[in-house]
Amino acid sequence: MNADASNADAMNSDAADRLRDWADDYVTGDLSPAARESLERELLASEETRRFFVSYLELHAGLAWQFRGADCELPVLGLVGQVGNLPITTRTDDVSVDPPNPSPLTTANTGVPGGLQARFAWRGRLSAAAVLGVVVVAAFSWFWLREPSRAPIAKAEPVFAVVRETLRGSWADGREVRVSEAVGKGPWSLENGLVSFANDDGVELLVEGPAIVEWLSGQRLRLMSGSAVVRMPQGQSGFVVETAKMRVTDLGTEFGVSVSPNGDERVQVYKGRVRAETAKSGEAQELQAGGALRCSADGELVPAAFVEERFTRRMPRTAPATPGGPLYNRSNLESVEVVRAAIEVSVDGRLAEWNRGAFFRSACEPPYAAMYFVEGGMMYDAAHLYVAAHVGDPEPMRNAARDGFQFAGGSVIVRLAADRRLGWPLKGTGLPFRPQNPSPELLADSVNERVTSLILWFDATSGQAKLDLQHSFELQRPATVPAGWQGAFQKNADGLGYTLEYAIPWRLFHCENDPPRGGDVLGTLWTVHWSDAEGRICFGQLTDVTNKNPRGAAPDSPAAFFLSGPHWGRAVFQPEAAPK
Amino acid sequence: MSTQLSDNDFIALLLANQSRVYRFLFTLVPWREDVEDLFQKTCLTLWQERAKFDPTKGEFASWACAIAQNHVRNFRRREATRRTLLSEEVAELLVATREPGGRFSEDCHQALRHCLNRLPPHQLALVEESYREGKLNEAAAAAGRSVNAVYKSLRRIRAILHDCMVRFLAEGTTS
Repeated sequence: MNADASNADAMNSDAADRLRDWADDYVTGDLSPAARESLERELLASEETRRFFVSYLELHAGLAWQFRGADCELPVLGLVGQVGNLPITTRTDDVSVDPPNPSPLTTANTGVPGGLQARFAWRGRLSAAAVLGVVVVAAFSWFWLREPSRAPIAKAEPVFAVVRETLRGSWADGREVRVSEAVGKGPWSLENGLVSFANDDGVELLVEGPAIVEWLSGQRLRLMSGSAVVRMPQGQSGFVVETAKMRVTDLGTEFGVSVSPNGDERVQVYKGRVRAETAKSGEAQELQAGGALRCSADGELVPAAFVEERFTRRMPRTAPATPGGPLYNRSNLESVEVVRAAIEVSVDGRLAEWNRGAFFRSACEPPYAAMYFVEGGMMYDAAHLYVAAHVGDPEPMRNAARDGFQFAGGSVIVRLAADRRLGWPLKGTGLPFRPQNPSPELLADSVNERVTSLILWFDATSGQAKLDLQHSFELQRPATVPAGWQGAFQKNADGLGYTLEYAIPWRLFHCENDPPRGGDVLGTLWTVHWSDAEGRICFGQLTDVTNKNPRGAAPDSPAAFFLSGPHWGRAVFQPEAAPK
Repeated sequence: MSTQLSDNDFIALLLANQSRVYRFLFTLVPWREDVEDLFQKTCLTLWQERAKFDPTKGEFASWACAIAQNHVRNFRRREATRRTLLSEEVAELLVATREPGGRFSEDCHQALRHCLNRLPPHQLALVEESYREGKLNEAAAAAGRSVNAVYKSLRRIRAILHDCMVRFLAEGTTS
């Protein structure tokens, strides 16, 4: 790709302008026969010209797709949309059908009813039975995928809301979210995906996982982590979203609220207005459409930038490319070796200095094992920790996730307790798994800032390798990530994965004066996230290198092991360099 | 069905790949209304022929694009005398240029997303308005400008976007 694109880049500007002009005329139907002949001559003569021309047509095509009107529906959806008033009639009067396809298929002699002809501009000889078959199956399938049940089966009373749509939604216990599932009182955790809920009053709630939510009543919700968008029916107001630090009351609107893993809380209004109050002082502010507020660490409401894409407001058109249930793994590793770097490491994503035979491998459960996996390794020297990973990912390096949730758009998270005094197993935990009155030792372990999480991801927007840091089990983020680290990504040649390579100075673990050394056994945990093609919605994750016999309270899901030190596995620092 | 895919799984695949199919069609038949028509037909054929798709034998996108190409061939036969179409030979070469599996196409798509994010808001708004309905006169009316002025602006913006795409593709993925 690079070489060819470079060639295109090198194309002189006159030739580039001429090709673009022809392409524009072609698209608008204004290409003259003479210009077409010239264009064809150039296209036949040069692969470079063809790539340039195709890339320009791709620009047109991409824009046309991107801004396609909402009234253009998928044919299958269109079929279903008309199921209620289907005129099941056959048309044999207009048989100027497309001839059977020469390859790779022969077209079945089926079609759609005449009533749909205008919509699909379809002309074909129809069989009523075939029509009925297609439509009924399509209707059933689409209904199952997209539509709420009219008679939800309540599993918790009282029922506050019902799942209306789900895109790769899975609960904390690994169960797939199902359309028409009822949600009642009490907290629940959405591990992955995007799920739309509706309550009896027509309020729509779109929750993006990972998120922890609790319905307090039909009109009141507590958001403990994650992000949610509330859309009120016209003429209604009064829905309340509470977070740890604020309360947001809808005044007839559409708005989003987010609580990031490090406690950053935001509200952003898309339509109408809301009233935001702090839990600390009760100070209230009214916020109009186009406005955003952040609740600071000390509980004050401060203005924030309105970023349209901070929240997912609609179910995207796209669906997972590989359907088949939740994407998750069962941990099978307890220990990984961290080898001493034998030579200077050049961070370029090619892993020339690594012994890949020593990498561990962990994969998601079938049917995903072949496509969603990680092969990882760690090295160290006196100055750095080096991390390398090859990740199987059908949508590699697409991360365009929202602030505070970058991990969800596709990432590798490597956690290491770099304080040599902590040893293994770890004792520290995050707040949810800490006793009411922790001992001073437990508290000290829990807030130890050498316990560091490295969030490694490729930002598709900037085209850059990125690093986020979190310290301790309270996930404290530095205001800015200190300089000195290096990272690089390479996409697989087959486009089905990527390789990353990072060098992180021990200074970023706050342990430059006493970095880990050969013989140390420290706590570590690896997590990989996968996303949709747009790099926003988390489709699933893998957690591995875990303690098989942990003590203490167990999180519901391995996805929460990062908050429970006793569940972290072992990083065994080898005294000697591994043979290459 | 001979395939292991359920209808629900098939629809999910279809949804996941609809953008690829649409863009594939657009690079072969550049007129919006015709592409919409061919897209609908292609999706319907895919649905009707879903039993023949075997996920173990190849990617869905390749299979879907092959079917789309059949519809384009039929379209060409019908419309060749009425439209200024590129020759069959050139069209086949363009398909080959997109590479098996549409990787080049996907790279272009990613590059476009990257470049759109860098477009100033007023230019982005013009592009959106123009492409949403595919009618320049409505975009011109919305912008309070003549159709000709909007047309020229659009060409300029497309050139900016395309330059950005070419640079993005040339720089590759290593950071």
